[in-house]
Amino acid sequence: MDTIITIEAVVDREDGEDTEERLRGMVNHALHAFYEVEQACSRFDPDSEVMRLRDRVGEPTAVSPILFEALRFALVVAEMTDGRFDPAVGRRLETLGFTRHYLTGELRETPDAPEDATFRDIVIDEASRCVTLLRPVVIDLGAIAKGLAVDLAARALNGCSGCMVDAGGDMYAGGTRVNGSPWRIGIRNPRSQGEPIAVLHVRDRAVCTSGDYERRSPLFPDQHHIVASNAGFSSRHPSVVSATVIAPYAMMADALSTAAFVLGPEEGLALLESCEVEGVLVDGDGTMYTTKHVEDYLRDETT
Amino acid sequence: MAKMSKQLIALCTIALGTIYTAGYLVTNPADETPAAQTTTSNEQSPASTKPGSSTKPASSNQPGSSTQSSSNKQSSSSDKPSSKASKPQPKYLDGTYYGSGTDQIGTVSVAVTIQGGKIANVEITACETHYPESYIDPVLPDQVVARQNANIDYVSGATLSSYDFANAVQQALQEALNPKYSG
Repeated sequence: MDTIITIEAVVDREDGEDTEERLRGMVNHALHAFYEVEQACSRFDPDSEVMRLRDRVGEPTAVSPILFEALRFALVVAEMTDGRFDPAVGRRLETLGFTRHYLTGELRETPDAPEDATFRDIVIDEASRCVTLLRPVVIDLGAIAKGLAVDLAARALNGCSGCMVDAGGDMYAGGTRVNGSPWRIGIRNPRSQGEPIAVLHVRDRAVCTSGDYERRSPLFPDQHHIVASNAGFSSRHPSVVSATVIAPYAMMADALSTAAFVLGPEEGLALLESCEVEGVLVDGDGTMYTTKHVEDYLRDETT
Repeated sequence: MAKMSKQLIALCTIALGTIYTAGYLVTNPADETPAAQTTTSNEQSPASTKPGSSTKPASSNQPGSSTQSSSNKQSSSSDKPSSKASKPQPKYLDGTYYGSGTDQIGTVSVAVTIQGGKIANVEITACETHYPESYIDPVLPDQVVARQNANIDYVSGATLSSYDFANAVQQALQEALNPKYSG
């Protein structure tokens, strides 16, 4: 996924002498989730499950639980935002130059994909767990898949008294740190590498940030990798430069942070409130917009 | 608008549950370590060769035997009879095992009874969710007995309870696993 994954796990020593072995097993397991999700959901790999759907336009195709659940979630959020969050933006991302596979360096484009594709070109059937593409759309699950992988990884670490799964902008903080205190997660200042703009104290929560600073378009310097569907190019509210969401699940935090980003500060904040998650949005001037109860996470419980 | 929040949380919960029950990451992580396998396979000769390895054949139910290779990673799908095993080991050990599944909305607890190595009975011992227990009882317990695994069909309208139930059964079955069983 072109990102460095860090996993921290905390267990009680009393569990016996095989603790270390067990821990290693759990962490390997957790990492495995990222490979599984990538194989199912990567837009850059022509052999990924999601890209192979394009070979069967118009036909219902049974898919793996990973792809099905990721798509189902993406479509619900797309519906919720009237399609401004849209998993069908893959082709548009390609035209912005996001075509390079991070491992192979290979450039890949699918010029036959319709540029006006929307999430309504993707139809899922809950009963048969099949997906039907109405047109050969390129699906981008970038706002979903990493979150799902983080959730799966965190789940694999269930037996630990604490765990931190950090996959770049997507994190899950389970339980507590070694000293029994909540995990601390800094929100990076989107316009400088220095001090974080806020530090969150969380346990059993996912924290995901969508920012415009991570991946810039190689073709258009003012464009980045978070694109809203209807707006044509990157978000029509260029004012949000970073959106952080705290939620029970990383898939939820991941999708909602992207959605809030494309909706802009006002509507974005309203979406977060209506989904009962907390979040921090930052605009280009450095102004912070926060949901009502975000303060609960800014307080340091240990002091 | 609490509905949106609930819907998203439910979808995430179900997503993780379904992916797990489908076989991704279902196994106890300790079982994954590939090196630990196969000391119990029964080529006749090697027992004498390796000094450090356990020489107990699979069938001798020695409680203290040093290799605990519960290699049951494929969940039930790969129940091919292993032709070489001198005496097939049951997948589950007899007894009654308990498990519970929890999500943001509630908890379902079950007692799973194994008899003769098979899932003989599943009882819902507690069902503290928003949905009445009758939504999932007896349909889901019956499915587990019929299918001999936790892969139940989610009950529409009670998906979260179904998920909790599946997790509870999975947990109980994990406890019941026969460490000597090798797919």
